[in-house]
Amino acid sequence: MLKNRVAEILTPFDAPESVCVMGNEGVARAAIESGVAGVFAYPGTPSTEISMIFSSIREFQAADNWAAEYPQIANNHIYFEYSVNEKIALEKAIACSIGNKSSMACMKNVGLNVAADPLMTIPYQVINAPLVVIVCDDPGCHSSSNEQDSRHFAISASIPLLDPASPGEAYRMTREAFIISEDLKLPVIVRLTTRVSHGRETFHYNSIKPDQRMGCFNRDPVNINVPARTAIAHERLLEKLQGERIQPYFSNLNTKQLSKSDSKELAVITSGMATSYFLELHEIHELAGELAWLKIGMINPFPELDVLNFLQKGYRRILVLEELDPILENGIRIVAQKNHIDVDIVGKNFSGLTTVGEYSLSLTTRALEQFLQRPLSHKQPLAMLADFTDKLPVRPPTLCVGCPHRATFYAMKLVLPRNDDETILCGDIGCLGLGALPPMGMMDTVNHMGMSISMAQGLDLAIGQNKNGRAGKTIALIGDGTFFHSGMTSLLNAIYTNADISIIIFDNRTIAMTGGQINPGAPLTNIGEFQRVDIEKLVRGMGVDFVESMDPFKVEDTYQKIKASINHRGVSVLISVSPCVMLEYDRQISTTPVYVDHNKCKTCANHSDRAQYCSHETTPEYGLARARAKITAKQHIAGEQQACPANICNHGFFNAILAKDYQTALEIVRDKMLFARTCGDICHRPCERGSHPSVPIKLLKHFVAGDAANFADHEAALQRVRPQTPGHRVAIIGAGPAGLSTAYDLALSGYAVFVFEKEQSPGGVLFHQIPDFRMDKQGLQSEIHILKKLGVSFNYGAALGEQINLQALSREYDAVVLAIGVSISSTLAIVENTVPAQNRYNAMDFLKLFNESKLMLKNDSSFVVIGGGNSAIDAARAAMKLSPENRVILSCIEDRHTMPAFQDEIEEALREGVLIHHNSFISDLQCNSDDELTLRMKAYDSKKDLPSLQCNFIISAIGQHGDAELLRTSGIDTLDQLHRIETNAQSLIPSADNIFAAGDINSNHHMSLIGAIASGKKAAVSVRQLLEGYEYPYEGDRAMQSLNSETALEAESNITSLEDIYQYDLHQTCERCNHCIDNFACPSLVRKNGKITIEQSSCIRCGLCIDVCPNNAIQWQTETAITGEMV
Amino acid sequence: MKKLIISGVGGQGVTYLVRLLMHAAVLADIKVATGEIHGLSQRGGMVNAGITFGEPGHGQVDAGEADFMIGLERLEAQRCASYLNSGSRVVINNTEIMPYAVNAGISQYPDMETFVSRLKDCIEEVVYVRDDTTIDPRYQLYFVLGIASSLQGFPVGYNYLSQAIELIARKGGQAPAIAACELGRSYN
Repeated sequence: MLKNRVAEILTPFDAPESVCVMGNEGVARAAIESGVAGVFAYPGTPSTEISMIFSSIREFQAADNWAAEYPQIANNHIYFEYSVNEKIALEKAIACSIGNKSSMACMKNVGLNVAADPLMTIPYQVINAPLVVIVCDDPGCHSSSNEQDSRHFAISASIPLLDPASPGEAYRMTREAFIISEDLKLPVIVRLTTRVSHGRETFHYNSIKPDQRMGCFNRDPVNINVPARTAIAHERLLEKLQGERIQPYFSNLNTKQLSKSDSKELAVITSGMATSYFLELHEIHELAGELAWLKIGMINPFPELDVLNFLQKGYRRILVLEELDPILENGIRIVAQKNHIDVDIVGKNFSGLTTVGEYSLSLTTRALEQFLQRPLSHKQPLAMLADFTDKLPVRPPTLCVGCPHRATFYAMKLVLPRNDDETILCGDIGCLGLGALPPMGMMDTVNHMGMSISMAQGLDLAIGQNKNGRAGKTIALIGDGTFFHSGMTSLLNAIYTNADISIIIFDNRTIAMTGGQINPGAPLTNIGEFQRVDIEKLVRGMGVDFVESMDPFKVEDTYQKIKASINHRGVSVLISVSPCVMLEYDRQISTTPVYVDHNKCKTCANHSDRAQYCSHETTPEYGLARARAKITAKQHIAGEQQACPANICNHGFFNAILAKDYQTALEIVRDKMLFARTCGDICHRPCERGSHPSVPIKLLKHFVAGDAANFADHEAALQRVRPQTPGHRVAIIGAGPAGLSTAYDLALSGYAVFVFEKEQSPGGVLFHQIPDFRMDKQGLQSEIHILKKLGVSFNYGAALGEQINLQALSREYDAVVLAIGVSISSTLAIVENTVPAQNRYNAMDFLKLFNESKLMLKNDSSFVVIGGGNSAIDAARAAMKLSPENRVILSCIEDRHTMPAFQDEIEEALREGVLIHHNSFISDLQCNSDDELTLRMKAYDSKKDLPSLQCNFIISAIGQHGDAELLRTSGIDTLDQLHRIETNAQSLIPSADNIFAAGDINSNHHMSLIGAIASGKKAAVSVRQLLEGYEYPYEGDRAMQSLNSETALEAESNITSLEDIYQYDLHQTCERCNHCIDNFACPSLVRKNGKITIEQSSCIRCGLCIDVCPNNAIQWQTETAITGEMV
Repeated sequence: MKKLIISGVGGQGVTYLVRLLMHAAVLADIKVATGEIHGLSQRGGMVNAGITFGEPGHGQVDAGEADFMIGLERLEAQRCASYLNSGSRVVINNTEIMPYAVNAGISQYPDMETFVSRLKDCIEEVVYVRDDTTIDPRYQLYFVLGIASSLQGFPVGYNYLSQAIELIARKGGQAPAIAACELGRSYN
């Protein structure tokens, strides 16, 4: 409060001074005029303004020279404190009064509940100087937990209660209360309601009578409360209320107006705010002629005499207008009954008058209309506007911009899954209660002050009594003010009773919701009067071992502490300390603005074609998974480092798994290609070569595709097939992974696809060569089967150059994709020339026969496999598996680490007993009789002799090449050394308009499973470019190109459990992101035109959103990079 | 007796505007009163306040009773439409503050054009501050007050408003505040 306003409220006026202020201010002034010496309060809407005035007075009077500057008010020294709670406030006020200093205690309605014990007991004893208790009720519950009618307390305590009907009356009745209290030596309650407290009107201030009393204490036995004296004390108390002494006061407090005519029909009796409504209507509608009225100002003791006199005027019918409980109404009925007065009394339940909520002008108008039995004209809302007010967006109060509670709740959100019932969050009164609202939703209970800690203990007890004990934790959330108010004692109980709960104290260094009052933890000691109590020391002193303070704006540290607290057994206390932003209003925490880079916000990193389908769901859980990884992971890997040649959205895939949404993870793979299961089995994982460490994508693919339930459901792909358009008929030759990948993409794009395959079943090398101990063949079949459901037609036994002709297909179809692979196995002349046919195989044939179970070899065979690639390893392992007595040696020219085969496959082979001879080749070969071969070996580098090898069979696995003759007769002669087709950059075969090459047969492309898939997808894009003018390039091109420059890969990562993946954060900008809105919701983050923007006028630059955004789109605006949204 | 309501969002200065208007009324020797200012102000929630000028007002403004409305924010102005009657005169500021429900895509910010044109059909006078009007945001409140003061029959004369501003506004801010007010008065 400004200094001059404080001075004003302390200034005495000899002649009445007109002011226009709120009722609360009037109450404060009245107390000052009455010579109050000490005021004790706890903040609580709608009473807070009263105590704030005295708080300002205290500050004012603590300043040096104030007395010299304002000599007129220098004599009036008023003490004020915000006590720890209302009980202590009232106790201290009582003590002051007993010590002969006039005092006042102020609180809201439920505060009186806390102060009830002293309130009920002191009247049986005695006070000295006046003591007035101000309590503010809240009909309609604008800002309270209930709408209790506190007048009952006065009746229970047997003390006087005054019920002002307007701000001016609040002032006048408070003055009267001090007088009555002094006279009767009793506390007097003045009970306001919200509108009386906060309404403003014009009334007059008067002179001030400062307190001249000397503090003292008289030893009087009445100060000692013992049961023996109770009956006498009670009688004496009732005598004060019912005796002569109090009678004169009624006339000041109750007013009446008899009706102007002789009519004795109708009358109204009112009290409180209802009076104001009635009087306005009484004047507007000129009801003086019809209605007499009586207004009651002192509710306890009940004004029997005034009511009786009024009733004896002989009214036929009386309307009682009173908010909340029918205390006045019932009292009137009692008077009427006791005195045998025949009158019809109406009140509650008459014409919509209820105990619930506030009254209003319109409610009172309707009641009067029904009472008078005639309409009263009044202005109506406009019917034509009614439909505009429905369905408007709600605007509840929210946590302020930069509120530290938001930071604490956010860290909690990262720790706690809220999709289970295990963790229960017990909240409390105050600003932190706003965390219950969406999107935070981080509260399950809120009751009254301090209940959080009691609720947590009690629930933990109840649920912990279940036979299986309990998983999860009960956590109490409480503010610093509330902690002192009533949380301390509850914490003590929790310690004492060995409760297993966590408590988080939201210490924003103030009592915020009521406007920022001090509390013992944050007393703002610039005035030097109050001593600070350190919460952490206090809690430790109580006996809690696990106590941690944290800065909620340091998200990771706060996260770890919350996590540790939850895992702790017993009582643990966390104190989240950061000042309320309202303490320094308009302050900006940094001079550097924060901005959102629109190139990163809600932007897909993967492709430029916006029409590409993405299965990834924008859910709060997904956002949390990514955001949590950003804060807590040990390894942060950019998505670009783990790019897939088939452009599978790896970060989307991984984050869906983090969010435990395995179905979506699988669908994200299937957005791009069919072979989720297959790649999970045998892909050479180039996506894991780009960074070290890297997320084990392949392993996760295996895991996700391994779930039978998820895996079998292919509906999603079928849903997004586009309708077929004419002019889009495509022939694909070869049903290997490349051809099938082309088929998948084209079928989804609405093309009619016809696949020609020379074998009797699809799959190519995948089906025929890869052995089933390396991959799940059933899974493959299932994946291929989707193509049939997508409408792809398959023609088996159709071999190029025999049943089908390339040029003919090129004429008959709009485009042709040649994906026949490299089917000719390379051979060593020395083997071909020397070894009998039945003792030699190439790996491709061997594996095919193995898969078809057509190998009939003797049990005790020995093999030498030549080659260092995967085919060699597969053949070697297959040979081992044919019989336990088989012996297999693999000879290759490479070292262990330069062998092209996968390291993990090599290790499997070694484990299974295959012997590997590195750096060796066959220099000579001899065929003995008896199916035995002798191989003379030499070292590849030095050409030195090596020990000879004996075996029954040789398997050559030294590479594949294309069928040059077949290709030439099909009109293709641009071939490379391996007889693979050299195409242009779009995979188009030169000398053809509409023939493309995909897979191993295309010399540009990498000979691997994912290389084939990528190649197939690229061909599909090229077809679309040709036939429909598709504008975009192949999305996986860059990753596909980098396949050709490969480095050796380490063995597969040692992830032993799914929990291990939480060490990774694979991040890339994502369009399907709503995280900041879904889980953080700072009011300065506004959605405009599909992107998030920071409203600079409200942003206080705390910078927390920078930690929140999983796309790293929010940044400090340094001078260098400013793109997207400008400040 | 004339009744006026102010609607807006917590933090926009509703409480301050109430004080200003009351102070001006006191200077003009008009019996003025307010009821409760609803809303948890600083928490960004909706806030509305009623003021009565002259007898027998006690500060309560009920549905259909507002002779004047000062709408500091568009959505809240629309929300308070039930206070208006056919004789009402209204000014609606061009500030739009997005509630969470709109940011989250749960609801849409209402269409103002339709509302304002309907309003113009139903009530006596509407001044709708256009989107392209830019005032120094620190003084936008005074600009809107200036417009309001020019509505026909506004309960307090402009000279009293400017006196009140001199007395109450932040030191050093009085001159630009009054300038903004003047701008508002000549807005239409």
